[in-house]
Amino acid sequence: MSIANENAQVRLARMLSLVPYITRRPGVSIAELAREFTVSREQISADLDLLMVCGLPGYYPDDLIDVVLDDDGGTVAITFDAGIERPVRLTADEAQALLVALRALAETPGLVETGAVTSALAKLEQLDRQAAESTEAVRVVPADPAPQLGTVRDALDRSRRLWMRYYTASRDTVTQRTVDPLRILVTDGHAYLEAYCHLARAVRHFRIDRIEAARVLEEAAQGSLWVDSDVPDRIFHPDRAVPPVEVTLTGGARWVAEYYPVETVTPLPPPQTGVTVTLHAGNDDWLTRLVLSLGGEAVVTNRPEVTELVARRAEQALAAYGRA
Amino acid sequence: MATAKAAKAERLLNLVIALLNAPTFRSAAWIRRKVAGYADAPTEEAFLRTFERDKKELRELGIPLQTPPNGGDGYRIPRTEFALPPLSFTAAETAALALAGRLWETTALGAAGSGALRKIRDADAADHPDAGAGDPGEPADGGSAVTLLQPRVRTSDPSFEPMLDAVRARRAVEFDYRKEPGEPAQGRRLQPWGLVSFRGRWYVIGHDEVREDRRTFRLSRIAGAVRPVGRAVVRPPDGLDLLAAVAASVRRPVTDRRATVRIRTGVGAGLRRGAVAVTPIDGRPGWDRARIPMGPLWETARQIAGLGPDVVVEEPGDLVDATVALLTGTLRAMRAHVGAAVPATDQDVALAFDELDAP
Repeated sequence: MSIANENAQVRLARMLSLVPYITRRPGVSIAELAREFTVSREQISADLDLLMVCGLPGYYPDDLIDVVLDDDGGTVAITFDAGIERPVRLTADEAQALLVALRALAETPGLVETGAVTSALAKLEQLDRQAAESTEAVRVVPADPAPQLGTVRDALDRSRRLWMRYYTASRDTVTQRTVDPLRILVTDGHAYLEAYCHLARAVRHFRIDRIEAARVLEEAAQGSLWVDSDVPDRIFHPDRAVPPVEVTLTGGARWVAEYYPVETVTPLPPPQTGVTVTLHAGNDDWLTRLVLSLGGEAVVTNRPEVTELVARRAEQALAAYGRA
Repeated sequence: MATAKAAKAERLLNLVIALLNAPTFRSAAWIRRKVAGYADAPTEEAFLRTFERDKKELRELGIPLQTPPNGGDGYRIPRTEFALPPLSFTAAETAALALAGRLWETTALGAAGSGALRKIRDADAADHPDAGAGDPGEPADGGSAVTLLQPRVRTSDPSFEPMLDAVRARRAVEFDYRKEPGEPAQGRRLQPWGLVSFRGRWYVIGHDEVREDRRTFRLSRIAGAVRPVGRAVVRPPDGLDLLAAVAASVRRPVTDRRATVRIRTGVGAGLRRGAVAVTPIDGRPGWDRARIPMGPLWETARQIAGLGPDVVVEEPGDLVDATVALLTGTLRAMRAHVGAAVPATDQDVALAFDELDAP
């Protein structure tokens, strides 16, 4: 976070926000300001130094913004704000960021109380008609609809244990589980339930649209002692101890390189068109199903036993059609 | 550099304070004389150049600079329009806003979202000084919803910001686009109408100037830079529903065909989930017969081929042929350990197959 390379406009916007922020929280620490405005402490100190020399024309001591620094405690207060008592109205970017997001939440039924989203949206649109119109250009569907989302929310809101029938796509199986819900994550187009699973005896992520049936139980859910406040980068936890597989993808199978969390993508040497990818396969069953389904356009190149298994299964399947 | 920029930020802030507190319109000459930072301008012309730039920057920040209604020389910043007006949100609305402000991953929109939240919070605290005594940052009732529910939309695609800028500026763009991974990228020229995030992916939809037709592009397939070209002339068609348009181009076509398959007991949970009927087969222990809805032909064939000898298609005939073709191709490729020719697959197949799960 360099102090020198920031443009004056960005800095002005921050300083105009800093004044009302500090005025409402006398004695706030420099560290908290740095966190809130996501800049370094040095930057906040530099901003405060600059605020102190700005003020009403005339620029006598009483005209300047009065920033009171407590150097020992690292805290700050403002006793004269030179008229910057309220936050500046939203910029086009800010209004758009909120309006598009609110619309996205409103369009995902079951995620949040839609009434509150719609009324907040209406109040904001009232505030800024122009921004409301320009936001039509960005539309977001945060997650596909999931029939069991309401039940999951209910269990979470009431801190109850949840019974569910769940389809695990990577293993192509359906299991019944009892879980203690921790939170709902929405990322990459899907809603996930993060929960302690009594079957797996560990915290797991469940795609809510794959929950086939769910029931809120009477027992209270065990709260987690510690909840990660961030959304994980990917809802996918490969076993790093297992070496990645190498797959060559050609023709219509190349979508695999985009769809799965692959680690490397290398184009094939011309004139061939295709790529070689490395990825962490959840398990060999999944990998076998994937290769079998791709009609020869995917080949695992560093696991001969997988290739053999795929060939054997293809042969057996063809035999059933009398075509082996 | 740092000092020049600091001097500019200082000058802009002093200008805002001066005009915000002005009892009347202030002339440019007054500003040059009275506002700190402008007196250094060596000539009238230099002053006006700087002042023009400064006015533009303030307006971009949403700060309203008013001029007298009679067209005279003078400026002021009306307080009522400068500041965020009084807002009153209920606890539930505040919780919804908090979620919305955090929806974006930390990029341009992420910073804008949290900036907007802070302003709204502080505007609210000013209206209810008592309520703000504790920590106005966390609404009492909404706090739990914020931690229990964490929606996020990723905007880390490098093309996202330049494309968003172009959409806002109504300008056409040029970029190189790869239809499939590993394929050479081709130059495109598009009048972008809007951006849509659907099923976790970003798309741009607009008018393709070369193909003279509506086209949808995946941002992740854009190779290299997005370059704005030409003037601000792009106009989306009236009444266009971007979301519906993108969804229509991405979503798999619905068919009402059904297939009959034999499926080994205890396997193929994915196929069984969607099955209309599953019954044990008389005289063939260990096997069920299932009626399943058919998606696009090749997608269904791939799902079945993936299960190898555990599923056998009985009818329809084209599904038998497609499944056999896939299995034959796989067998040949495994034996040769190189890619083999397979039935041509169209775009729909590739997209529809996206429905499969992560490993």
